[in-house]
Amino acid sequence: MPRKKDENLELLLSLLMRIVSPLKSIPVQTAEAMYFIRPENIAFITIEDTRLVFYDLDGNKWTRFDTLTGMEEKLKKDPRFFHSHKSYCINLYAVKSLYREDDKRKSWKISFHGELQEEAIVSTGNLQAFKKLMELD
Amino acid sequence: MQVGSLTHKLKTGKLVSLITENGFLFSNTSELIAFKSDHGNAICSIGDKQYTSEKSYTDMVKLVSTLPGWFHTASGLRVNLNHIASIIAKNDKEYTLVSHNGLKFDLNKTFYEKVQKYYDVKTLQHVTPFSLPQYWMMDMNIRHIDKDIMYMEVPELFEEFSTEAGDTIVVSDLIVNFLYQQVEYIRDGEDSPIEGGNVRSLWYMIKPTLSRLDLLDGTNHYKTVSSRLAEMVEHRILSYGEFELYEYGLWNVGLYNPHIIFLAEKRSHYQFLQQLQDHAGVTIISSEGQPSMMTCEYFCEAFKKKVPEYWKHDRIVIINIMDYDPHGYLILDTFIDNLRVFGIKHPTEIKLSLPENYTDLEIEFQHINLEKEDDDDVGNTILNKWMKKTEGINGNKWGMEVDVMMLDRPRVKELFLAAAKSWFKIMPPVQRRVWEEVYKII
Repeated sequence: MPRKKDENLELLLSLLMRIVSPLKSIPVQTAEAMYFIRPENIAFITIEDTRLVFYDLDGNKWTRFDTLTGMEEKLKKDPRFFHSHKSYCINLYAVKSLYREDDKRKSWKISFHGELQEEAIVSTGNLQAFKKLMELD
Repeated sequence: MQVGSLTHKLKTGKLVSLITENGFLFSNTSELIAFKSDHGNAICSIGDKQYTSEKSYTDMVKLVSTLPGWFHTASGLRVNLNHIASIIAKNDKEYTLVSHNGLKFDLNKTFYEKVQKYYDVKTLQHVTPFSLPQYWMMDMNIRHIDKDIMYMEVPELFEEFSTEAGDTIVVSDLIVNFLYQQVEYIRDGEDSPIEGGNVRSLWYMIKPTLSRLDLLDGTNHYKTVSSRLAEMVEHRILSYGEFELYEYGLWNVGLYNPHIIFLAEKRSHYQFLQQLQDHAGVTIISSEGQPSMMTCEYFCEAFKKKVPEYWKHDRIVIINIMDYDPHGYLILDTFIDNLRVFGIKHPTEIKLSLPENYTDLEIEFQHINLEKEDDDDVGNTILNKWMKKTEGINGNKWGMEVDVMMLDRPRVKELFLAAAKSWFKIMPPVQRRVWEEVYKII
């Protein structure tokens, strides 16, 4: 049965969404300048030494003075972002693998596409939701 | 949907024909970083190259006028903000837009508002919320510098750290950026190059660079290193701990009543503090005159670990034995200020060295006439302020050295225990000689 026009538009929109986030660029601070990073280029966001840290897919690390909860609120209109752990918010579209280092550990690790070597964590409590979003169920 | 970002990502846009040496290059508006007016022509930046457009500047303006991300940023200049990676605030009127490939373009105040709205930010000067360390970094002109400063050639050092005229090195600028660069290396996972060393070890690292610049005569730049480092720590830009410096301060966090801090101004009283710690399990520290920022940082970090929740609230007490004079008060104020820097705020403060805790005989024979004391550090203004706060002794500008009280140590112990009584969580005597155990471990 041929797709309806609305369905096609919806599909197109979701595909475009994978390419570009519906959100504005996010400003981050360095000593000398304000940088603007595109949300689709973010691999994950975490907290380090009370600072919000963004890791991008090129392997760069950016900091911003903010809370993770506050940032997640700003990102909630973008379906790519998922609260995977109390200290991690990940870009689902950038996820490359999910693995557990050994059976004894409860949390799972996530690696990303691109140049980034750093990894994020999925807590046990959020694992089912993550699997569902990654169509593992 | 961010259409500008989408066209940028897909490299689609309106056709632009550019003139080359032997023909035309066909590009599109999403690939263009910017174009500027030159005698009516449009000079376009693509990658690191520049081409003249086949269209005039006016026609190019019309072409991009409806495209998202294209903005008028300065006279005769249009910039595609989808290519802009960062904005540097030169002052509150002038800004520089920097593209992903490092090209720089002016943004004048006249065009500021539209760009600000495009990015949907409160200001283009800094990110909000703004952290105080970030503010101080900008204020001190601390920046990321790619090349290791210790291995820069002299012309490179002049290019990076000289005055606008380019003939004099701003030593302070060089030093703060050297310190920040070292801590950046450590944060990136390198070992501290001076682990177990002291501030002088940092000085020895940068000294050869200053020697190459012929800057070792005259000013004592070790002091510049030490004072600028303390300033950076105070503004929480970095910490002594990150350098893993050796800290020899006289302090020890108590096991049983760690929230009670017994502070002495003088080193010679530390043994007495240790005896009180044995008895009551309180935290002890000797400021040894003006307390050093490094001692305060290490002390506070250890203190916060032992007193995990108290330090966040108003449940810390500092019982102190300082000289009853302007110096003693200044030292105490500095110590409390330093604690605040490292997160310990609003402690209650109880002074033991007060006139009412001395005997009449001691006051009559052992007082110091502060007006006659030859002290360059304490001028009349400070003395008068202190008098206003304390009324001296019976209205006279007299002070008392705490050593007078310390001649009768059982009395000081009694005063201490009376002051601390309502604060004890575990009543003394506690049955351990904590400081001796620590020494045994060392």
